[in-house]
Amino acid sequence: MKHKKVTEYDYSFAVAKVRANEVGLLTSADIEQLISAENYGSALRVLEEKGWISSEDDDVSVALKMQMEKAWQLIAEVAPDISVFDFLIVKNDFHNIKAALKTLVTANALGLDLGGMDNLMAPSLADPEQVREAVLNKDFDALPDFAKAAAEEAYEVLARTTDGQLADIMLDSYYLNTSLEMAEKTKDSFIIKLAELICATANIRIAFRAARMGKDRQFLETALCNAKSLDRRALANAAAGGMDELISFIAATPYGEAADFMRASSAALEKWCDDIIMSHLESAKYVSLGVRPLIAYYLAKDAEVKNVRVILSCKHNHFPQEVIRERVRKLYA
Amino acid sequence: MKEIIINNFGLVMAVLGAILAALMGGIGSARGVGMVGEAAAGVVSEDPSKFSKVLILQLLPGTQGLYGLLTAVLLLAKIGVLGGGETPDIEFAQGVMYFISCLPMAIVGYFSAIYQARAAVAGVGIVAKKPEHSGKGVTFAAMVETYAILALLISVLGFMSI
Repeated sequence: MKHKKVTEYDYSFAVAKVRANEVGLLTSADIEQLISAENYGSALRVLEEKGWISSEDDDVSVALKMQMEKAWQLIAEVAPDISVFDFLIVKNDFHNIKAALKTLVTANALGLDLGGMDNLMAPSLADPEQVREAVLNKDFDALPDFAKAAAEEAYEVLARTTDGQLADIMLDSYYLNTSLEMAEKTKDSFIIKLAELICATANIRIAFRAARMGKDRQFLETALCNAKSLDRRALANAAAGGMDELISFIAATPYGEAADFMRASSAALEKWCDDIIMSHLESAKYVSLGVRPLIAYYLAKDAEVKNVRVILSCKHNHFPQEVIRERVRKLYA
Repeated sequence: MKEIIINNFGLVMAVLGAILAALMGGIGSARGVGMVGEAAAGVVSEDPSKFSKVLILQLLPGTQGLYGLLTAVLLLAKIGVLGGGETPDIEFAQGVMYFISCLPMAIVGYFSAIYQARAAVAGVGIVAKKPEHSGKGVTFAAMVETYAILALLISVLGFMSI
């Protein structure tokens, strides 16, 4: 049976429902209130007032995870075509593969039983339990097509070298390339640009860390993904040449703004990378039909949860308010 | 049947014009009201107290259907079809003119209903986030109404002066 093509008009209910939910997103004033909280306990009380956590919650991270689950439930309930979100949630599939591979290799090395795993992430394209089973049984053919080669290759690397970091960066690179391909299939310019920004900023982060740690070109070739707006080979060469060469290279690209943040600090660069993605999402505020407001809401919620985590972590470690303000990401609301 | 149509081609064209005005305006309004209704339901499912505010927005694209109906009724009355008497005798050229005079209402009615619905859906977004500014959302959507009224005027004035 031929499926009816989903048009932007099919999103009118979904967009209105999401707009009604956007009222519940944290505002700058809410974030400021959290930052100004006297200590970790006061910050938790602010979150309690906002309905984020309850006094019975033992683990705040579980409550934060619940916020994302609720956001996904809303999107899954109202979106006429959920497949347009594949490029975003495929990240969790690769995370689950990573987690399962680590369990497998650790259990093999230490001669332990393959017990249960509680670090699987949802939503994902493949059932997390099936992914876990497939990886633990080394039955990589049972994985979705986009993950078969990645998982097998990462397992071989892990088994041969026990280098967890190398396996991780390989899987991250596979994830970013898969996400780009999935975004291109949607033929939506907003989604393609978003995926491109996610990949380009990931490449900038990787190159920055590699330059700082003095990693070689081979490492960079493995770690960098195929972002079109940033020449992969040239970026690898620049990062292998050291921090100064990398900064001069980045300054001459469409992401030239990042150069100043690279000079400032790693935290400043991380914040810039997240903020540039949020700036792209802001255009969805002025759209009343189509998938864009839904994607923007989901990522806005993700950024919000990230902000709350950063603030709580800083409060826990008694960081001054100025330091926290520097680390807080741009808000959508 | 074929003979009746050929002998009354002027009348057929006039009736076709009236039907087209009612049909296009009606389809446009049905699509528009449905679209805004879906958006309104999205907001009301989260906050039922906003029902009355979104209802006004939902009603706005419904007027084109009424204008189409008005155009059709006035034309059918003018050519004597609604009178219930004998079949009116209308020249072919005159029938074509009646048909053409209905086109502004038919075409502008359809498209203005769709575009008004888009503006109204955006207005529903305003009600969802800032209900105190719902009047502005209504005003934006109501602006599109101007062109539906202009089309109604030109259609009615057109066939009334034939």
